[in-house]
Amino acid sequence: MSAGPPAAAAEIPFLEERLLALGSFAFLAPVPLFFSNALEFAVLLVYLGVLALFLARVRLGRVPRLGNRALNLAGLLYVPIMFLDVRFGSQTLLKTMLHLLLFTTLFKLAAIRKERDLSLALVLSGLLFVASVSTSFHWAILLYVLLVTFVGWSVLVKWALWRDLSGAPEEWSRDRTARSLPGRGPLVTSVASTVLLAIPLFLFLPRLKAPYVKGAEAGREITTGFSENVDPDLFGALKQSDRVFLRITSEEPLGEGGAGVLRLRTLALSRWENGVWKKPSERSAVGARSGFGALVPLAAGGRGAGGGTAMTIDLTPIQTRYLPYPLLGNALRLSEASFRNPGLAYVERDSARNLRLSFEPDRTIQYAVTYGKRPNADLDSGDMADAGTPAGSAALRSFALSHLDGIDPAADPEAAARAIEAVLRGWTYELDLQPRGPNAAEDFVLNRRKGHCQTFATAMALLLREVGVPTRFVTGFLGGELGAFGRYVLVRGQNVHAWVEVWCGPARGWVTFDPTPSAGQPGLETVPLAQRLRQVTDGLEFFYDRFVLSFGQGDQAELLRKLREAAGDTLSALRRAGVSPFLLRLPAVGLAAAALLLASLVLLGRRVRGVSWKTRGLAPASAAYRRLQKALRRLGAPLTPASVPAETLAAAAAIGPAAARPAEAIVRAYVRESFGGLAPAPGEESRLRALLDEFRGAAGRSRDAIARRPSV
Amino acid sequence: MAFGARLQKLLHPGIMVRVTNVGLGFILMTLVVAVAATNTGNNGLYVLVSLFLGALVVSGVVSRRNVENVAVELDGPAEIFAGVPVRFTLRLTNRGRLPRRALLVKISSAAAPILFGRLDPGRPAERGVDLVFPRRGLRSIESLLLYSGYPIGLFRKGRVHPLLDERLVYPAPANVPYIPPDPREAEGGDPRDRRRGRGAEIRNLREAGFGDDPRDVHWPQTARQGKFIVKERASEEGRDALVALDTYRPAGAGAAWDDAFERSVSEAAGLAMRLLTRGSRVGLLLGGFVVPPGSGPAHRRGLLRALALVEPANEPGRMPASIRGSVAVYRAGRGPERAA
Repeated sequence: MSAGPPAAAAEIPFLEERLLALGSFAFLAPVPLFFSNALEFAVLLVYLGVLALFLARVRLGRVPRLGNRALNLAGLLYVPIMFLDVRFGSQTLLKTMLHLLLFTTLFKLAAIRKERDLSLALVLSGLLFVASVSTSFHWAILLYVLLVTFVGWSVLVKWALWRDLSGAPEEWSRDRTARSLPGRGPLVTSVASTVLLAIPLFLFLPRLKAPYVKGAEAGREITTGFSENVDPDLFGALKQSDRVFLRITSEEPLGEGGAGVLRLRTLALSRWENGVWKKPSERSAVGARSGFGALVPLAAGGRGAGGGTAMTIDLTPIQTRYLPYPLLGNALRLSEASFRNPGLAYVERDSARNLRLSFEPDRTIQYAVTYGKRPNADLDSGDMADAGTPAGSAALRSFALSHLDGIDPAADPEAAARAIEAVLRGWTYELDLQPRGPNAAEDFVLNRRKGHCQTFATAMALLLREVGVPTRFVTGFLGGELGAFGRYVLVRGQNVHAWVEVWCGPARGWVTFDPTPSAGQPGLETVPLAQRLRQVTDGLEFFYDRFVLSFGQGDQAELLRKLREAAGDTLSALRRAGVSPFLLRLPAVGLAAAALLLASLVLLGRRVRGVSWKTRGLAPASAAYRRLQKALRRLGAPLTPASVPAETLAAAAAIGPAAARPAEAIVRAYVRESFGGLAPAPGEESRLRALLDEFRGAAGRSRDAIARRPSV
Repeated sequence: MAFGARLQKLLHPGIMVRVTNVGLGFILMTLVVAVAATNTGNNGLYVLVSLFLGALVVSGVVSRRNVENVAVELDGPAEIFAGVPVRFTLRLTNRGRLPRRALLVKISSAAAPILFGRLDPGRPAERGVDLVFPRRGLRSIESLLLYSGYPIGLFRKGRVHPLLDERLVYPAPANVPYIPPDPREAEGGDPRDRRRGRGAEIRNLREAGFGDDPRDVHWPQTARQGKFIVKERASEEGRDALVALDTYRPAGAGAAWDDAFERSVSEAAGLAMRLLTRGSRVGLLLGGFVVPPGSGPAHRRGLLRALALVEPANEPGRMPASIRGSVAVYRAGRGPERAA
C-alpha cells in the first residue's frame, strides 16, 4: 500500500521563510551587547546593516549563496583581521570572540546549502543571545529575554512545521490554519507557563559558586564620594545623582518617624589635610568583629541589645566598605542571604563609630538595624587627637570668636557649637559645583557665604576646631523618597548629606549638629504622580540587582528557611486553634496518599486506555483469533489487535510446530469467517476452543522446554 | 528492552517520542549554559537555564496533549483492485477540550504527511487521500501514525492508531479483448447442455406435471403418445462457464513463475468479469477448488474474493466429476476448451 507520491522536494524546503525567521532572531540576538559595553557600536552597526541587506534580498526572493571559494577567502581574510583585533582593537578576549561570532553568523547565513547549515546558523544566533544575556547587568535585559522568548517561540513553532513538511511543502500553502500558527492565545499561554516554571527553577537551581557580578557597570563609573577620603570639591557632584543608593524598609511608617530616622551616618572623618577630609589615623577596630547572626552595637556603651523598631537596609555598591546606619540605630545585623561569601564577611566598628565591612561589596547587600526614639550617646574619644587639630587659619579663628557671643568654648562646647550652627544656618544654600581650591573654607566663611552641605559642615568643623572644640566631619544620607508601592523609602544621590559631630565633654560625648540651611536639608518626600514611573524603574533595578543578579546560595537558604518557618507558623497556628496532632499530620499523609493514588490512576488509566482486546460480540472465529493473539502477546510476541494474520502466524511458528498447527487452523478459520463471508459451521465454536486449548498446551510445553534448556 | 525504553513505555504507553535535531541542539545548549552558569555563578545564565528548562517542560507537555484524544478514521470503498488508486477519506475528530494544532498523519512510512493545521474540539476534519494497493490478497492498513512537533519542535510525539482494517484487495482484472466463442455454441450446441428457461429453443420433451404451463404442451407428441407431453425450453441466457486457473507450483519454480501466476490470476479475473458481463453464469476452478457458476453482484464479489485469496498449491488440482462436461471451461491464459 502506498499513498500518493510526495511532491518533488525543493533544494531546501521553505528556505526563504526559514532564513527570514532566522535572520530576525539573529538581528535581535546581539543588540544588548552594545548596551553592556561588550561590543562596539560601530561593529554592531556593521553587523546589523549587513544583516538588514541580507534579509532584504531574501525578501525579494534572491537568497545570497556564497560559494566555497568565497567562504575560504573570507576565512583567510579574517585571520589577519582577528590578529589586528587581538593586538590593537579589543581590549578583552570577549570582544574578539564576539567579533568572530558575528562574522561567522553572517557568513553562515549567506552560505546555506543543507538543512544542517540552517541548524548551525540557529545555534550561532543562540550563542549570541546567550552572550547578550550573560554580559548584561541591567534589569531591562529581562524585558529583552521576554521579547526574545515570544519571538523565538513563534519562530520555532513554524520552524518545526516547516521541517515536518519538508516532504510535502504543498500542505503548508494548502492549510490556512497552519500558516497562522502559533496564534496569540497559545503563544501567550505557552510563554507565560514557561516563565512561571522558570521562576521556581531559577530560585532552586543549585548554586555552587557565588553570584558573578561584573564591576558596577564597568565603563560607567559610579562616583559616590564614600571613599575613605572626601574631596569637598567633588562632593557636590554626588548630590546631582538620582541613582538609588539605599532602599529602606521599616516595620513602622517611616514618614511618621521623619527625617530623624532617615539621618544615616556612613563615615566620620576627623583628619583635615590639604583641603581634604580623611579618616582618623587610628585604625584599630573597637570591639570584637561581628559576623552573621550577631548584633553589632552601634555605639560604645549604647543600647546594643537590639531593642526598638527594625528597619531593613539594602545597600547598592557605593565603592566603600562603610555601612550607612541611622543615627537613632541601636544595633545592626548582617543578612547572610545577600552576601557572596558569608564565611568571610564580618563588621568591625572603629573609634569614630564607623562600621566597616571586611570587604568592599560589589553587589547589593542587606542588613537589618534596630532603632529607637533618640540617638545613642557616643562617649568614645578615640579620634580626639585628629578631631581636635585646628587647621591653623587665623581668619577662621577670628570669625569663630567673634560669633560666640561670649561663650567659652572650653567650658561649654555644645553652646559654642549651637552658636556657630545658628550663624551658618542663616546663610544661603547653593549647589555650586565649581572647584574652590584648598582655601575654599576661608573663602566661604569670609566672602561667599553660599554653598552646599559639605561646605557648611566643613566650615563648622574648622571654625570649632579653631576655638579648641574637637569636631569631626560626617558624611551620610538625609531623608528619602517614599516608595510608590509598599512601606519603603528610596535614598538617592541627592540625599547625600554632610554634617558634623562635636565633642561636648565626657558626659555628653559626640553630639550631632547640622549647619546646612533647611533649604539644603533633604526631607522625606512623596514624589508627584508624574515621577512615579521613575520610582517603578528604580524599583525594578533594585529588584533585579538584589533578587536576580546577586541571588545566591545565601538567598536560597534564606528562602528555604522562610518556607520552613511559614509551614511551622501555620502548624503552630493550627495547634493553637485546638486542632489535634493527628489531624495535623493528616494533610501530609493525605497529600502523599493522594499523590500515590493519582500516579497509580494515571499509570493504570494509560495502560487500560490502550488498544482494545475485547472479544465480546465477535463472531466465533474472530473471537478465537483475538484470544490467540492475546495468548501470543503474553508469551512475548509484539502483537496488537491490528496485527495481520501473517504476523500472528509467524509469531505462533516461532514457538514451535506443535503450537503453529492449531494456531494456523484458527487463523484460517478467522480469514474464512472475516473475509470469505461464510457462516460458522455447527460445532465450530467447540472446535476452535479445542484448538485454542491445544495451542496453549503446546506453547506451555515449549516454554518449559526452553526454561529447562541449559544456558551457555 | 532497555530501562529507558521500558520507563518511557510505562510513562507514555502508546506515545512515541523522538527528540528532533533542533531538540537535541536545544538540550545541548541548555547543558552548556547550565555548566557555564554553575561555573561562573552568572545569574543571567541561570535565568536562561531556567527558561530553557521551562520551555522543555512546556513543550513536552503540550506536544503530548496535542496528539492525545484524537480519533482517527479511514473510510474507503468496498471494492479495491490491486494497482488501481482508490480514494479514502481520512477523518480526525478532536475528543479533547482544547484545540489541537499542526497534526500530521502518515498512512505509510514512505507516504507524504497529511497536515491538519487546526482541529477544534468535537468538530471532525476530513481529507481525501488516494491509496494504491500494489498486490492482491488480504491487505491491512494496520495503523495510522498521528504525530506532531507542536509547539516548538523539540520533540516529535506520535500515537499509532490501530485501524483493525483488513481489506481484501481484488486482483486487477486483466484486459481480455476477445473471448473466442465456445465451439459448441458456435455450431448451435446441444440444447440439453443448457439451462431451462423461456427461450425459443426446445431443450427436452417430457410428460406434463403439476404446474406446467398449458402453452408448453407439445400437441403432436401428445397425440402420438396418448398422454400430455410438454416442451422444456432452453434458457436464452449464456451458458455456464468455468474459468480455470492452474495453481500447481512445480518444485523449484522461481520468482518468474510467481509473476506469471499473478498475471494468470489477473487474467482469470478479467475473463470472469467479461463472461459475467456477457450474461454467462461464471464459476471458478482454482486447482481442485471449485466455485460453482452463478451470476449477480454477490456472486461477482465471491469470485473476486476467491481470486484475491488464491494461493499456489503444491499438488495439481483435479476437476470434480460432478461438473465435468457440463460447462464451458476457459483456462486463464489459454482460451476456452471443453472440459475433459
